[in-house]
Amino acid sequence: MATTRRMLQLYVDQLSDELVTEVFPLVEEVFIFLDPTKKTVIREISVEEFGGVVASHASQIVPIGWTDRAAARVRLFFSGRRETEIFYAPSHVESPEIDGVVGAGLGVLELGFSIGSPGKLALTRGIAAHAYIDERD
Amino acid sequence: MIDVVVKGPGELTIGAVDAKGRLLLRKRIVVSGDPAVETRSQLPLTVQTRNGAVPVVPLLIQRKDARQHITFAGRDAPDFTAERCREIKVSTAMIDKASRTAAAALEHNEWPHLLIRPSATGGQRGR
Repeated sequence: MATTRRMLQLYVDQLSDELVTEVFPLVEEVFIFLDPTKKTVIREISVEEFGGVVASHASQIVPIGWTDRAAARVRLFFSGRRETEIFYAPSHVESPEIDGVVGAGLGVLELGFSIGSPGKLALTRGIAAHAYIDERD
Repeated sequence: MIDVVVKGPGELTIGAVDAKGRLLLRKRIVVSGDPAVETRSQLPLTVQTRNGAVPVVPLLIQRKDARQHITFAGRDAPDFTAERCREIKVSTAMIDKASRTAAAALEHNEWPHLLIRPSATGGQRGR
């Protein structure tokens, strides 16, 4: 059984000037085309994040149950069908074999923020994610 | 927001500069793996600051691999930047200077760092 191994690796970091009161969400996605005559297997999806957002002059803001990691997913696209198959990180076990996949997209997501006066936001954060995808005969 | 599309792997840095030449947002994207990869990102046309909404110019600050093709809102990145400068009446020389400053800073600080400038009067603001 011949296997073609594909890798998608994405790193993105975001830095804002301290003057801002709005931090935009990080929504990034990388795509590749795949051979729909082969069976596609997602072998691994992983994501890590560092840094974050600091609010100043913003008393009485208390985070409760705040997540500490960005979200990552792999979307699989099919010819003649609008719906995608979605797999989420972290995943370190092979997916089932999937037929008819024409493309894959590795996406990462982190929330955006805005703060009212007199608050200020300082931001530096980065996300690293990867996906390993096999195409099998 | 505008869509940013990058064709090919490599490292690039994009940003948003206001009319005073301040880099209000910087984003660095590194993609590796498959040579046919395509990346989608976004940049704002307006940023909220303490003084209200500020129009900004999206720009390409640095591209490590010249084979990468980058578009802003479906147009070549430098063309879009030049038109946005005309639209909000910002000099392209100022944008170029901001871009060079940001690129030079990247050479010295490969990893991002958090910038917080404490203000002696900031705590009293708005009271």
